[in-house]
Formats: sequence, C-alpha cells, structure tokens
Amino acid sequence: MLCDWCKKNEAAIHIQQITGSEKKLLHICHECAAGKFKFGAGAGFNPLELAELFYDILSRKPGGAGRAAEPDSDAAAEIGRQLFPPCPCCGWTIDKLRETGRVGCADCYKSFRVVIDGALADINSRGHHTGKIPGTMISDSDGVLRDSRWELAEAVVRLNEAVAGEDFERAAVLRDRIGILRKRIAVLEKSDSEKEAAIGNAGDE
Amino acid sequence: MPATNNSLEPRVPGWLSESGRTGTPAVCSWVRLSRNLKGALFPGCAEKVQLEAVRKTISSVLRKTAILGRGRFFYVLDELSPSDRGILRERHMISPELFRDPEEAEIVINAAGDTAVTVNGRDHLAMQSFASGVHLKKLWRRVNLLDNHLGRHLEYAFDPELGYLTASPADAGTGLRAGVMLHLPALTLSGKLTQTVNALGHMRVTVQEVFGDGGRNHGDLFLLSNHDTIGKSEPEILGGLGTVTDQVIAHEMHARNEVFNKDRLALVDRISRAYGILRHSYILHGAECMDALSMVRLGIDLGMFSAVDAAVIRELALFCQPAHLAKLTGSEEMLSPTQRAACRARTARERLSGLGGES
Repeated sequence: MLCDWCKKNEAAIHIQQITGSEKKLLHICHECAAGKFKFGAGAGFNPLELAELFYDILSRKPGGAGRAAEPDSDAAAEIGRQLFPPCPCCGWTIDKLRETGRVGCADCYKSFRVVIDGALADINSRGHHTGKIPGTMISDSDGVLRDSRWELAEAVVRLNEAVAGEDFERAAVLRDRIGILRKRIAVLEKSDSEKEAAIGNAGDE
Repeated sequence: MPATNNSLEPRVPGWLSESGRTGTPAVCSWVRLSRNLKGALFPGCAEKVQLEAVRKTISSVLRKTAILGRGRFFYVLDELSPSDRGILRERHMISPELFRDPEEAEIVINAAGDTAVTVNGRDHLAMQSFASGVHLKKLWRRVNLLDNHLGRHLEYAFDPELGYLTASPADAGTGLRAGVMLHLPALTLSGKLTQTVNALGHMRVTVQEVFGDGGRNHGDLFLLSNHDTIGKSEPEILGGLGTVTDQVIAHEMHARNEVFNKDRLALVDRISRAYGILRHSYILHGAECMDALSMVRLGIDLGMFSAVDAAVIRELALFCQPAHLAKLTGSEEMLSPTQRAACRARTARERLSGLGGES
C-alpha cells in the first residue's frame, strides 16, 4: 500500500483518527510521518499530537526522580515505535527514552532527533550549542590560552631552526601553525575579557 | 580499598569547614561538566565489558597525568562498602544512582576533597568541584581546566549543533550543571518562598528542596540550578544563575528583617527551642534535626549565639546523615533508624557541649 501523502513510498504507519462520528484511516510512510511531525501543521492531520506525547520525557529533574511520562494510549505508543525504530547503533528504543529520559549512545541523537529537538526546544530557550567546542576550546579562560602561548613560542623557535636548516617545507607548515595560534590567542584574549565581565556577576568575590 | 582512607573519614571536607561569612544564606555551590567518549555506548545502555573498557581508558589517562594533583585518591566504587559510598553520596560527590549501582564506576578526588572526576556515572565522565559560599566563577575555572586537560587525551561525543552529547538530552549542549545551595528559613517561615520561586520562573533556574519528605521541607535548604544547558555559553549560564542567586539572597535577607521585626520574641523562642532540641535530645530523627539546625543557623546569622560557630552547624548537618553516622560509630553497614536517632542525638549533644550557647 502506497503512502497517502507522497503516493511514492510504501506506507509503514497506519493511523486511525476519529473526529466526532467520522472515522478516517491514514496510511503513511516513515519519511512523511517524520516530516509531518517535524514541520507541524498541514494536510489537516496531526498524528495524535506525538510531539506532545513525547514532550515531557525530558522535562524530568536531573537524577531521574520524576515520573515517567505515560503514553496516552497503547496505540499512541505503537505509533511512536513505528515512527522511531530502535537506534541502529545501540538498540535503544523510543520506549526506553520515554521511561528513562535518557539515550543509549551518541547515535540516538540522530535516531530520535525529532523527539529530542522538540524536547530541547521546550527545555531550553534556544536549541543551538554556543558553548565550548572540543579541540578549539574557545571558551577556555586559563589552560588553552596559556598552552597556545607556549606552543606559539615553541613554534617560533622551531621555525627559525627550520629556516636555518633550509627545511622550507617544514617552515611553511610551522608558519601556518603560527598564524592559527596567533589568531586563536587574539580571540581568546578578547573573549576572555568579555567573558570575565559576563561572569563577573556570578556571585564571586 | 582501605576504608580508613582520608577522603572517606567521617570528617568535614576542608572546603566545607572554611569559615564562610556568617549572616548570609549562601551555603555552598558546585559546578559539574558531563562528557561522553566518542563511539562508546553510554553507561545506561552499555554492558559490563564495555563499561570496563571505558573505565580503563579514562582511568589510564587520569593515572598517567597529574590531574587533581598530589595526594589524590582513586576509588573503584563497587569495591567500597555501602557506608563509604554513602559518605560520597552525602557529600554530593556521587549521585543516588551511583550509590545504588556502582558497576564499573570510579571516582578520583583531590587531596582537598573539593574536586572530583567520576567515571561511568550517568555519563562516562563527570568533572565537578565544590566550594563553600557562592563561587561559580572559581568553580568553572577548575572544571574547565580539568576538561581541557582530559580533552587532550580523550575524544568526546560532540555534535556541532547539539554540543556535547550526554546520556540525558536535558544536559546536552554545554553539559554544564551548576548549583547553589541556599538556606532560606525566613522565606519559608513567611510563606513567601513559593511567591519568590514563581517570580523566578522566567529566569530559567530550577529550584529544588534539599531535604524533604514529600509534603514538608526540612532544613530550609534549597538548591538553585541552571535550567538551560544549550543555547547559551558557559559564562552566560553561570552569570544567569549568579544573578538569580543574588536576587533570592536579597529576598531572604529582606524576609529575615521582616520576620525579626514582626515578632522578635516568637522568633527568638523558636530558635532557642531548636537549640534546646539539639543540645539535650537523646533520640533525634533526621527531619527534626534538620529543622532544628536550620533555626540555630538562623540564630547564628542573627547574632544570637556568640559561642556557636556556623561551621559546627555545617558539620552537624553533614554528620547527622545516615552514612556519616554509621562511620562515626565505626560501622561499615548502615545503622537502623533507631540506632541512627540515638547516634545523631549523641553527636549533636557532644558537638554543642562546651560551646557555651546562647549569649
């Protein structure tokens, strides 16, 4: 049976919607269901307000003291399972995500992205990471700045050695590295003073 | 693992016994960063063998580097007795979950006892630091430095949009949780706490009670922590929490003035009775103890007790917890509620005797 929406893919989800006395049966594919879920209104059909159903999975207190969100009905839970098959990496299921408020591995963030994005948008005012980044460590105020300065000093010494030894290939690499380090230090120094000001009212003495 | 090791002795960790300023509701603060290793299943999903591999990887990095400095202590949690794990739990070093299920979990604590790295808790890695009073900036520096050091040796699970990926998506992004413990007896007494908390609703801060039995709060201790972990930088998160903390403290100080001026005699009576309970009981239950400690602490802040140091009250608040009581009696097993109540009363009597009392 083809999907009622795109008429291309095989329908994988079969939803019965009852509005008043009218009964409507809808057959849709995974792709359309996920798209519909993500982009909201349209086609006059909301697959049982799944967003709402899964919304409170993550709003529980850290430490898991909260009450697990109960699906409205077994049918709703079943649709959740159909929409979100277990994570291919770790086998974690949407039911476990709902019960524990946790995921099984980093790939779960892809497997259950729509649900997590919805929940994060609810929990957080803006769902986009703007903090520290591994490797570049732009938010560091002590360690990286100091290390970058050390590395810069060392790179300058090594560059001079390379030039003296006519190892121009190595000198070119070092020169690039020095450029990156100088930029990074400049950014760190600038952001450091800004962040110090931002954090200044954090109750510290 | 020797149970008599320094970090697990029933004594107040140095950071908590620092004689913090009296007269302020700020008890302590902490900052925690959660991280997971790239390509490894998160602890809640991983099998024992996978957890072991993660523990070995992180442990070898911790051991080969000088992280947390000289005199640090390593503990494999499932090798510790329940009362030893309880000590760590009551000092907020490990979660209740890790207390119950310590499989393949490890913790390394610095000599000062104020900074720790936990392996295989809710996430593969949690770096946390504590301070007496509110010192979010200092604490962030400590954990950030730890994270930078460890980040050079370990590859973290990270997504450019979602940030650091954590077992609970509610922590994803910065993976940063910061908390401030405040003592708010006047807001509780005057019934203005709910009002204050509701007014803070838009400030994106979560308020939890520290000790409560469902219906009633005991000890008037509240934990303020950041609501958001994503969409803001770490300094913004901490700055926001700091601002809210300052506001709540101001509200509490205002409420203290009001309560004190409204019915001074009733307040002094209440505080003195609480002191009497701590000083003269032979059976002291946890809830009653926390309530009495709260009142005496308020009395100290108001200048009622010249001879009782706030540090003694902080010490008692910790020592009167179940695992600390067990350790005080030299037991590796937890005590029964009856034994605890007697031991708690004895501890309070002993610590407060010879201190003079009301002035």
